[in-house]
Amino acid sequence: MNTSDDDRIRHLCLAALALDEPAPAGGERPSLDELWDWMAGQVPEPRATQIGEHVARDPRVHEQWRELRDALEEDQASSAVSDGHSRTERDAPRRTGWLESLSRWLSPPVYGGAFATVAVLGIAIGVARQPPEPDLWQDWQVLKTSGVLEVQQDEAAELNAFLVGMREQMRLMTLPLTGPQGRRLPDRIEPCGDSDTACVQRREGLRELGRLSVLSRFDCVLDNEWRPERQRRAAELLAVLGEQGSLARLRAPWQAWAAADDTIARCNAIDELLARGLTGLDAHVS
Amino acid sequence: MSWRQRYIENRQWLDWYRREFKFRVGRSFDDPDDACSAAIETMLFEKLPALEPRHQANLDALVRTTYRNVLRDLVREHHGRPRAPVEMQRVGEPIAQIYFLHCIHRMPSQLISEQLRLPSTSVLEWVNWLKAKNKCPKRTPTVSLSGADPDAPMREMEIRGDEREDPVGEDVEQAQLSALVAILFGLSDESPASETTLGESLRQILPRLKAALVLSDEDRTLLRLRFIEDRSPSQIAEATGMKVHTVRRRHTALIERIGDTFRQHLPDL
Repeated sequence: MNTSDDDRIRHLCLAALALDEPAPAGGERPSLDELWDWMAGQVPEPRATQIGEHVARDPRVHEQWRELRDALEEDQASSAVSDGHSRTERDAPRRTGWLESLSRWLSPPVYGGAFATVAVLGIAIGVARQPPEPDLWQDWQVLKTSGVLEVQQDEAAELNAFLVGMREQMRLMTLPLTGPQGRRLPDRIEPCGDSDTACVQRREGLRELGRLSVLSRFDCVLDNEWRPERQRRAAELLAVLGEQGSLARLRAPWQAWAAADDTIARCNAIDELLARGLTGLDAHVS
Repeated sequence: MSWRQRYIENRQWLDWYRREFKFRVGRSFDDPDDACSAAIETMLFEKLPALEPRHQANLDALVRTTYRNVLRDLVREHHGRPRAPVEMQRVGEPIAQIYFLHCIHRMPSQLISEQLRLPSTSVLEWVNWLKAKNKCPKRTPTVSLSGADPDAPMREMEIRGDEREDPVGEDVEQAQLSALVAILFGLSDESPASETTLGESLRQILPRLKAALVLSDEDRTLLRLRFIEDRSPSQIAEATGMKVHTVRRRHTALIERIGDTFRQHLPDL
């Protein structure tokens, strides 16, 4: 499926939404704090079901839900980078496990599962934070990204996915969405061919690696407590994707990160991985 | 101590209120200092005391969202409550906000994309459509005696009667038709020979199309998360508590159904 197919589908789906005439949801439109309680599973029936209907049928309520989710993500990103000394996410169960146990759809608390998780994570962390404002690229070597790189189409697309992941993590952390020297980072992964699930999996993996790399670079910059789960996840991704020919450029520092057993080795490997990923900004497809 | 105290007295939070004002709406006011004070006053003395969450974990997100609502209300009050074109209203928020940020705040599309957290291609499409259809309110070229910053004054816009918020008497079917034409043709590179002719033919098939396109609550939420918020299947799964493969399966079935329905009723698409 190419981009114009994607656009066509998106337009048809937007048109479907524009034609939609849902029945009014029951009860009053929820206030922001009621919506907040509902997301954490704190609203009893039958009101919880009514709020679920408002979220699904009233774009204004859906928007408030989205804004609360975004704000929670900001806090979560903030906690991931700035709270190395209080109780951290490693003390909490893995999010996916929690989500599976909270999994439900249109049964109360509707749509609330993930955010109940985040709210409880907030309890586990135990403090409320301010948005962080450190500089991700402090002490960055200017020369690390210099020069134009000749790459194949596939490799350029893979590096792009890594950069998109970096950008996403920076957005979650409310940081400027730029690389070193103010270079803009891409915001969209290049689509894979029809039914090429291996490609989709590879690019999703690289996106995650980009996010992990930014988080970990931050730990290095701020001298935060080491998070073994990040290194473990980088190693898992390496085991799945590391042999791909189009990822050869990233392989050495990726392996070094997965195998690092001290802070200096780990931070050097992450820096090198980011530097190699950032070469995608100067990639020239041959 | 009340949970509210830290959001009222903490210096960092007061700084955050100011920064957020400047970042989001600072350019919209002739006198941003006054407007910022008004926003913070509303937050501290009206909105925060009115919040009564049952659970108090991780309240920062609730406070941030509440304050962003205060800023939005302040801007709308200040600018005479102009309303987005019906085509954007039919799709709903946050698409309608693109209108306010582009036409009222004169914000570049990249910044709109970042502020609303929407994909840049989607924002650009709507901005181009607003420009092509000349949908932004006209600005009256007045001269300020106080020599205000030319980027700042926003009160000089002429908001026509039909651009003010007035939910009463809206012709839903006409709005749906306009939205269909805008989305299916105005946002793409294809341009129909005649929008009038197209509108007439769409009007005839509209009842059947709507009857065939009935959406469930789950469908609506999936569509909004995927095609407006641009969330990946794994993010949708996280937001809804569904499993990723369930999201993929339902999403695929839904877009097939929507595609088939449009093709059946509009074979020329």
